[in-house]
Amino acid sequence: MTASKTLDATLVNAFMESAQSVYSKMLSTEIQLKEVKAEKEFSGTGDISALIGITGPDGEGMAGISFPFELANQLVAKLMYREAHMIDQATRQDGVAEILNMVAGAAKSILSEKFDATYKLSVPSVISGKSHSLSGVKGAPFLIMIFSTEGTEFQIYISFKKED
Amino acid sequence: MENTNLKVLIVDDSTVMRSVLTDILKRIGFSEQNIMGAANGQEGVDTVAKEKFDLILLDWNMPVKDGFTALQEMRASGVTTPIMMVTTEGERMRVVEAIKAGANNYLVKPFDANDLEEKVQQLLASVS
Ligand SMILES: [Mg+2]
Repeated sequence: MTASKTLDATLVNAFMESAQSVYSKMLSTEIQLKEVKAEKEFSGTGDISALIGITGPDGEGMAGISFPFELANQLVAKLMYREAHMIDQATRQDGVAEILNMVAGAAKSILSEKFDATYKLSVPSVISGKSHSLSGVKGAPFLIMIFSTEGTEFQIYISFKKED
Repeated sequence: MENTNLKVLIVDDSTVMRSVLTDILKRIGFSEQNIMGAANGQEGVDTVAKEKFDLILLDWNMPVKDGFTALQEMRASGVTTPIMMVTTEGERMRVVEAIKAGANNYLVKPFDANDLEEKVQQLLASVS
């Protein structure tokens, strides 16, 4: 296995583990990982995405999550013990940002211990709107993880460049 | 319930998370009117300087001022209120840093609601 393949697998595993933990603990929802692919660019297939920056002594990158509006509403509602129709736009944006914050935070903890480095997360930001596109880190591929939950797909993507 | 009259400050930049934490506290007897929110570390420090609380729940990653800096400033100004970090920062090193800086307890997000309930009750029992 090449070094970058090993890094990819480490990132994918960390984010899979963290996403599963966030969904089961905070959203009472199970998720299935359907597919992982690496691409140079990525167009958000969802309607709403949250992004967070990750920096460390030996690398930097970003992670994101993209949902269709309806699924975003459902998940934020579950997080808050509310009904989906009660979720307004501001709450949806805030909730999606916090879901990513928790997923990236848990993944960051796994990676920090694995690489023995202290990574820092930025405050998450949110982009809303049909087929928006996102860019990653120069020279690092986009790892796209396609998950499904309750019959709907959503994506987690990671772009991380680690210097050895 | 005995928690009814206790005053809590929740410092977290996520409105959704402040609402989630408020709901859980209400389940263990806190009353909503005694739960206040602050959206970043600076607001937290300012609020605590003006009012006395029985419990502070403190996020770490926030804009303007992070929760760790807020924790240090609160303790430096003589605030003795029990403080529990509720944060995605899960590394052991972080927990140690926070405890050294004066946090009384630490809960990593994502959490089970039961864990939060238990830790809050433990913390309040330990200081009463
Ligand atoms: Mg936060």
